[in-house]
Amino acid sequence: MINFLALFGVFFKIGMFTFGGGQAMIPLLQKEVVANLAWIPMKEFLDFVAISEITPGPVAINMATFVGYKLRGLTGALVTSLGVILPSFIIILIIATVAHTFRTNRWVSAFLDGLQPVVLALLTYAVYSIAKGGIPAWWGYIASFGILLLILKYGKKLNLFLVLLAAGGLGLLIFR
Amino acid sequence: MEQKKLITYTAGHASFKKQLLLFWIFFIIGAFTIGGGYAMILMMKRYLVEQYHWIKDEEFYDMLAISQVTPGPIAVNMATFVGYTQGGVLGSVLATLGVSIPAVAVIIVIAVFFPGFKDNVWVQRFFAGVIVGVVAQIATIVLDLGKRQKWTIVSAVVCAAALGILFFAREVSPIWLILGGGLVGIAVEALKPHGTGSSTTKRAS
Repeated sequence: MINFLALFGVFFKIGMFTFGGGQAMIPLLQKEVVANLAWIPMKEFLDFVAISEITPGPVAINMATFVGYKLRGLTGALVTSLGVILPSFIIILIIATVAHTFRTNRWVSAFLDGLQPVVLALLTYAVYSIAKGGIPAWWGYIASFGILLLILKYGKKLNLFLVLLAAGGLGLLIFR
Repeated sequence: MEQKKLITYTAGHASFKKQLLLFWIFFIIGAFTIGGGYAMILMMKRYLVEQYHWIKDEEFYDMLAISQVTPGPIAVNMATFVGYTQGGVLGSVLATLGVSIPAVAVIIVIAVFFPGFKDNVWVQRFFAGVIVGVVAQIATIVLDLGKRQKWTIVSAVVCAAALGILFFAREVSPIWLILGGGLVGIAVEALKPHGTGSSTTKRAS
């Protein structure tokens, strides 16, 4: 049986070295728990990924909970989830304590200004890749564009959660 | 000359009520983040910038940028960041727990009760519909960020180059693109004629 410390260690390490968001964690996690440690068979791992992508919450935490639960039950799930969250938490906490000085430093400020166009590019690419991977038919793209126009027109008056639920409901109706 | 502060600190005297509110906001955001961390950006901005006015527009985007150059899920990074600056250490713990608990809970429920969850055709259709909404929300953020970007020849080239790399060389990790953009920013600053530094130099202080 896999002990909790090993479980925690693997997810802490992955949380520590995954840059660029939770999606970037999947290949790393696969290498670790499927290939190196052989804790989870490949097919099951892919099932976990598929479910994590359609359930609420960051994919990284979904995956950690799945693997932890599968290997050591409820306690395992909590151990792995905590493991994957803690590095982020600690690192951001340290940064946040000095963040108020960022914009007063010429070089940090220049660095932040310089990376903004890249963030814009990453978000643009995210729109493309999420749409390509998740919208099954052309009328889905039309619907998406329509929702975009609604958000732009009604702004703050539009409840974004209801928009998502309504979009889900629309999906039940139009996607076959 | 004004010195721009990244974070409006209220951490020292945040009330317990505000800390609980932080938990609640991030819990709701966590519960509605489907399809990866980018999906929650617009909702976060609504709450933090537009509804509660806790942070300013540019602070929000600075935090988002920092959350992408640091390891871990963007949603968790943002929760910890906002939680700390708005509610101190307890605020950061509560916000981080808030964004994480739905993710843990839903997977445990599925693992225990609904192992066939993802093969259900209605689940698949509902999810495809939600993605339609998510794509529209991220597109909204793209337009917002594009509008407030200070467009220069350099920033346009950096943006185009990053897009080109993302579309045609997908193996590149986003972190290298982000660091590259930051370094370009530093290079531009270094090449500026002496004494005419950016608005954030302390020349007048």
